[in-house]
Amino acid sequence: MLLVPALLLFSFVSPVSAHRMLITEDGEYLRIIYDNNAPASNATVVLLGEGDRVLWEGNADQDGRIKPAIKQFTRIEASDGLGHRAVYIQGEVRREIPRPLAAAIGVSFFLFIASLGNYITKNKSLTN
Amino acid sequence: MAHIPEGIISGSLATYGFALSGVLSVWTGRTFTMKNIPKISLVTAAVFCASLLHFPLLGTSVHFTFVGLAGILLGPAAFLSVLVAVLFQGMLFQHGGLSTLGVNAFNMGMAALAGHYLFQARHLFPRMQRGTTVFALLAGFGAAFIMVALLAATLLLTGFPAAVVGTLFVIYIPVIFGEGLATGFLAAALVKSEKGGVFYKSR
Repeated sequence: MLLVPALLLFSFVSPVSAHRMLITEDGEYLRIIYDNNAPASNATVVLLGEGDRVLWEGNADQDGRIKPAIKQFTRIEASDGLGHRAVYIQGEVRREIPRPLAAAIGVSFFLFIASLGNYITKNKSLTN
Repeated sequence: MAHIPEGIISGSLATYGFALSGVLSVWTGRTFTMKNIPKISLVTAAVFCASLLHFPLLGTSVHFTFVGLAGILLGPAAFLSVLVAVLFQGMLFQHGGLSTLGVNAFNMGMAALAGHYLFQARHLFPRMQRGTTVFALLAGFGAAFIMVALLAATLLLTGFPAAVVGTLFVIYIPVIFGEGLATGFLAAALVKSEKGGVFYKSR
């Protein structure tokens, strides 16, 4: 009985790749932000080339913005030194569920399990 | 922060995290009964949503976890509850990664267990006035403190500089206080409305 909602839930899930820190393109700048849109002003940004060769490194400003000196790279990694990390791959398309919908899906699942548990417990006590 | 994302910790540390979380899940899962499932599910939903209550602080981003609250309400079963909440946070909010699920669940689940044992210590002071509220407050503070300490230890084992420990504790002071106050206020409200029966009771 639990399999159907679990399968539905997993079908909505996006791959875990971007985590809580995000790298976005803003014209010539890169913007390093957290998923509540707060700037990651402590972030160190590294542009990597083929074979993970470091091409350029710099620090984001107070607004989480940084202007890379080079435009040719394969991957960008950002880290705030406290365990937050983001990876950006050129041309990568992100598939993410809007946050309110994700929260609603999760809460609905837990409410369903709670209701199911309550139903089974009550049925058991009636039959005993 | 609390959730360690992919690519931070080594493979061996991630494996240790899964092993420890697995053992603790089996051990704490013994307290699981069908009767408790509605309560456990509702608390898991609250822990799952808590990570959305985040705010920027000193150039980084921190959020609530309410693991202490899970500990005082669910007892040892809080570990499994937190594990499931962390799994869902990883899948739906991209908070943490799947390879770091074991470590994240261990850090936060141990904090929930610490909250449970701190709250149980109220039985040592049966004559204490407002003992439930005071120990719920302590459980909230203590659980958040343990969580930050375990997070700091994980980052140190990963090779982060020792200075990161001090920075983490400074950044997390508002969260530690917030979690303690929220847990204490909730316990006080439950006692006042004579709903103290929802606290975990050992059989």
